[in-house]
Amino acid sequence: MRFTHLHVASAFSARYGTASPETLVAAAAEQGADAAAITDRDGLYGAIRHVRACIAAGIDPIVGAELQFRTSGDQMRDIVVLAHGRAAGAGWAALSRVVSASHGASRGIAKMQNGAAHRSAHLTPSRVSAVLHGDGPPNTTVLLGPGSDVGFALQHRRVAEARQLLDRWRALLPGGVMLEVVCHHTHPDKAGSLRHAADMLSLARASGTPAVLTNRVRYLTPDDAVTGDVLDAAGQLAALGTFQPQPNAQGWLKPPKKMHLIAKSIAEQAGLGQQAASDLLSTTERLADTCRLDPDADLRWRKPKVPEASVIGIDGDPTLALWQKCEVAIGERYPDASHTLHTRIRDRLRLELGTIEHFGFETYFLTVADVVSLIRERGIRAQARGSGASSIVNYLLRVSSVDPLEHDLLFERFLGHSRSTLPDIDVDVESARRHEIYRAIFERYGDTRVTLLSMQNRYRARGASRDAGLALGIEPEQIEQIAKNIWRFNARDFREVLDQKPELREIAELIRHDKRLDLMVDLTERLDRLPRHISMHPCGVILSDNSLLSVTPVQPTGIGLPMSQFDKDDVDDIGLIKLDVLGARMQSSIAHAVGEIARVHGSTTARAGELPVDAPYISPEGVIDVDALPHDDEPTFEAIRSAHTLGMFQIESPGQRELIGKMQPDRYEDLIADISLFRPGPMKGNMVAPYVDTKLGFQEPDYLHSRFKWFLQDSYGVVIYHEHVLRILHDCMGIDLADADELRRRMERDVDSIEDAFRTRTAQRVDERGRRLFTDREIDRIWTTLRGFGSFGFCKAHGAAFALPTYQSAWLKTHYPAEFMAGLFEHDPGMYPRRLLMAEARRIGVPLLPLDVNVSTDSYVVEWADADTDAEAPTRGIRLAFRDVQGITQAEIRRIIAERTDEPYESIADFYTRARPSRPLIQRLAAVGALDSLVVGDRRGDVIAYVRQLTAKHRPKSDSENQLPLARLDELPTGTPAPSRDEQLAAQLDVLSSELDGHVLDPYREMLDELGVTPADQLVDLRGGSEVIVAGIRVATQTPPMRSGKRVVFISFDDGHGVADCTFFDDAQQRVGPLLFGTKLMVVHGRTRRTGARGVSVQADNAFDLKQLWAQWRESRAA
Amino acid sequence: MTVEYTIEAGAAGEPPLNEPATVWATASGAPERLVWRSRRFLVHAKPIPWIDRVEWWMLEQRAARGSFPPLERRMWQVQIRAIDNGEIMLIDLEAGEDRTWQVTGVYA
Repeated sequence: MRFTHLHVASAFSARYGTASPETLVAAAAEQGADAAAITDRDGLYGAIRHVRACIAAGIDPIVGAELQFRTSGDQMRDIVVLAHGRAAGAGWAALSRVVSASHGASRGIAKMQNGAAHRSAHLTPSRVSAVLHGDGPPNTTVLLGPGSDVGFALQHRRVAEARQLLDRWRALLPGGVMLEVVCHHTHPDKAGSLRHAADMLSLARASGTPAVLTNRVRYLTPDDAVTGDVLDAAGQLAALGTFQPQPNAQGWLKPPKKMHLIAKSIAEQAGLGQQAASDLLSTTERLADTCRLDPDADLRWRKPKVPEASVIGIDGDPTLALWQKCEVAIGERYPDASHTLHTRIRDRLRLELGTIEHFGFETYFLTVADVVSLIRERGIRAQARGSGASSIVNYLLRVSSVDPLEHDLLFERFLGHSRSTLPDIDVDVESARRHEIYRAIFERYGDTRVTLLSMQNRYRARGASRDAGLALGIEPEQIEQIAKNIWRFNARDFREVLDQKPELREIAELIRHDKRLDLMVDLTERLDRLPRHISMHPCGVILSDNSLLSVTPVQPTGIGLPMSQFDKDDVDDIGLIKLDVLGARMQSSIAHAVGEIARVHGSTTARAGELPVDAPYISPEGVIDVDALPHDDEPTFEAIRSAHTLGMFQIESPGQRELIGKMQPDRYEDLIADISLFRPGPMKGNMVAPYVDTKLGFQEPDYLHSRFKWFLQDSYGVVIYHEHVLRILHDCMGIDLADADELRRRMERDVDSIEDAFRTRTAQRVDERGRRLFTDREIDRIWTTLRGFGSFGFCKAHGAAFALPTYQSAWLKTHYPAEFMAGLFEHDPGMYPRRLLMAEARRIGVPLLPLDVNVSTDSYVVEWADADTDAEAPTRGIRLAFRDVQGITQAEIRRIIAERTDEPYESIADFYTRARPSRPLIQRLAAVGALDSLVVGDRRGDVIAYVRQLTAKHRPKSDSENQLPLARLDELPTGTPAPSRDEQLAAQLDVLSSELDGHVLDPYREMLDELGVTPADQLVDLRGGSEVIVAGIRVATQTPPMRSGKRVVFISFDDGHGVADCTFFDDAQQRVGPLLFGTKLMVVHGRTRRTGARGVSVQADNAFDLKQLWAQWRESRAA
Repeated sequence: MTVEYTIEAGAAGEPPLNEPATVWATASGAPERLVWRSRRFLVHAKPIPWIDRVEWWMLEQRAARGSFPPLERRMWQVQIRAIDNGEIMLIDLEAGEDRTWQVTGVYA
């Protein structure tokens, strides 16, 4: 008995389907099917996964989509479009294009809310026909089911109308239309009832239209219907019980036996004999056969579809073109190379190009280079990250700025000889200009070759609990209270962690007493990992030849460019090139800093940075080429070693500051090691301790074998990098590096699987005189190390690529602190709030210049702080920008700046009249002193009072007849008391979310002093193990990778003197409970823990809510 | 048949109708005759089975994944004829465990 389900929605029908394509395929195969279909709503979102799962299960994939169309009566109805297979991709292409067309129809319509109830994609019947109807026989079949216009007419017993509508479809798509019979045993008047199904079958017989049976599958088992109800509520944005829910739970993947029985009942109900049931079932199987896709022939499965060489400006042989480009670049990249270096360069180049040619990836490399040069031509910073830095081809083509020879990075780690899919080359660019780059790429290659990548946002614990709460009609405040305490666990484990996590203690208690919350926990677990909605991937661009739109459906994004319906896990299999153009805020910050340096200092740039006047990396105009900095700048390393690394890329987190404090890096290789060690693998592998101990001279380096010394020197003998493992396997076993990388990958999965081969081959290795290279004892030692470290390592190329912006940012902070901090304020690249960075600026002596309506702009710019005085060494400060003023609009900023270009503002009234700020805005500007420069003397109180008067009245017009009232208004009241320090502080925090002087803790100082709180900057002077109390505002919360695997919570508090890093181990977490993730201002009791020469943290014992303490303290004082 | 008056069990806003009836069923479970509102009826035409849903969120305290909380109920739509005066009605019946079933919808 066979039955092929042809209408199956997977979970990729967001907020509708409940089962993954993989489980659906597995279930179909289990039921004995030799083909399985996926027909997601509005797209092919799950199609590639489906095909992959079918290939794995050894059955044929069938792919279609459920699409909406708008009737002439303006109703939304649906159809299913199934692609025909073995048609050299024509069926797939038609399907892909019709899906894109359905999303195209919504272009121009306001963006709809997410959710199944708010589907915006749709077509019209004639558009369907325009896209699908070609010259030859049809390549797709359109199913008209209970949800179609035909089905709707039949449901309401309008048989003649149904027949008319059907005839129209058949005329539009000759030979391409079938009726879809569905019986969900709903109420006899409803769609999907037995009667409805029978009427559909009767219509099919009467009109001579083929009919197929489906179950309009929405879930795997009836149990999933509960999940379906919750998803419907999320789609409707309404609680269950307030809208018409799905009629029952019949839409599951029923086994063939049940489907055959259904066919029988339908035929019976229609008054037709057994033959009608058999016909229905056999037509279904015939259509299934027509739709079986051949992944190779129909999808060109895993075959790279790269842009045509002519598009990237290559006329002849791409291999030759790549050779030539690399050859030319050697002179530019290695201008002073010695003869030996030249030999190494050429050997390496030959090796890489050989591999690239072997796979036929030349056009791919050329394309990436073309895109990167497109970016650089626009003056935008670009830098390859990841293992792409292992390639000298990438270095020569300027895709990467890391010299693989300098750091002994191995190409084989990037592209071995068994790889068949395209390697990833990820490029970091300035985040602020990312969209500009996308547009340039579209312009260059055309939208038949380029599209953006999408990503599926899935339900995580927080979002799941919110939607589960919504479905149950739980009050939003209570949902929020629960959601905010959810910290990084899987939704599916919600109930399990309830009793384990201290921060959930109060919630667990609530749940014990509230049945609805109890139910909510189960529903939250049900939603875990289900796709929620699709969005633009933050960095992925897809490139292909000009068949792109026949391969992937596309849909519009918020930035006006199309995105593919495929995500990053799909593109490899479908053979599309994915280029990750990552918007890196640090790259924007660096660009801003470099721009400010040149603008402020020009030809005196070198002197301002205390650098040699002939520094080759500084142009005569003062533009610094940060990619060309020497890597041995001692002041930079000194700054890093101080562990005051706020703002430095990658090394500003509390855990990193601790590691930096311990390690005391003094060479570039240390930075690469530092970044590599701070990863889950190396942490688990316990590599930090031996590295630090050897580096600091507490132990001798152990190179395992004298043959390894030359390549283990970069890490003092510690096996950290994949590259080390490759070299060891290569040297011991006498295999090439590419094979070594294959072995390394096997080791990661199962380390012991290679032990025998390793021992045997290593023991067989002999020198030219036949003596063994490795003794048994040595082999034992090497194996023990490989076993312990080999599977925990990190790719050095990744570390080296990351280390570059780390070093560049550290260098800029050291030599040009004001300009660098301005770059940080401008683009906010790091993990900390801006207010903490502002405190850091003050700490390192960079003044923050107040907001001033006559001076500030939309940008954080550097100014000479004491330009008016004749100070010997004028300092540079950073002028605050308008953009971070609360509630300010772009239009207001533009007006403020435009109006003053010819004529500065003379008075507050003048500013109010010409710049036309909103009333709240001018009040805010007054409160933070942005209007102070318009009056003589320090009269903040009067200014605020005056603005209040001014805004109480109608706005004065600027035309001439109103000149008089303006003049009258311009009289400042006198004697208004200036706002107190606490009031000023509160105003700054409200308006700028930062304090300019003082600190958010200042109002509590009296209590804190009484408690004996230690300022953060004094912790370092205390002996390890000292009992302390610290207080502050939370600036970071992290649960970093730990060797033990147990959760440790790091919370960093800023108290105005510095940052206190507090560690909460299990027992402290128990005590602190619900305060752990939800409370901002805290007081922590604990003991200091020395973490290195200049490193200290507080091991928390307990912690308290500062505001609560404050209330108690005030009460006790009042009593 | 004109549908003039419908009560949809479970529809938002309307309180669902739930009136007990004593039902005698055939061997395969289809309703055959019943006593309802103190009147006796015979099932007049072939009864149509259908499946309705319940508001599990009002009834259940737990709905863990894979626990198959009861979501459906088995229904029959039947045309019945009163023995006393021959009146013909269309009703929805929810099948019960014993002879006590529920009338959940009446179409006059």
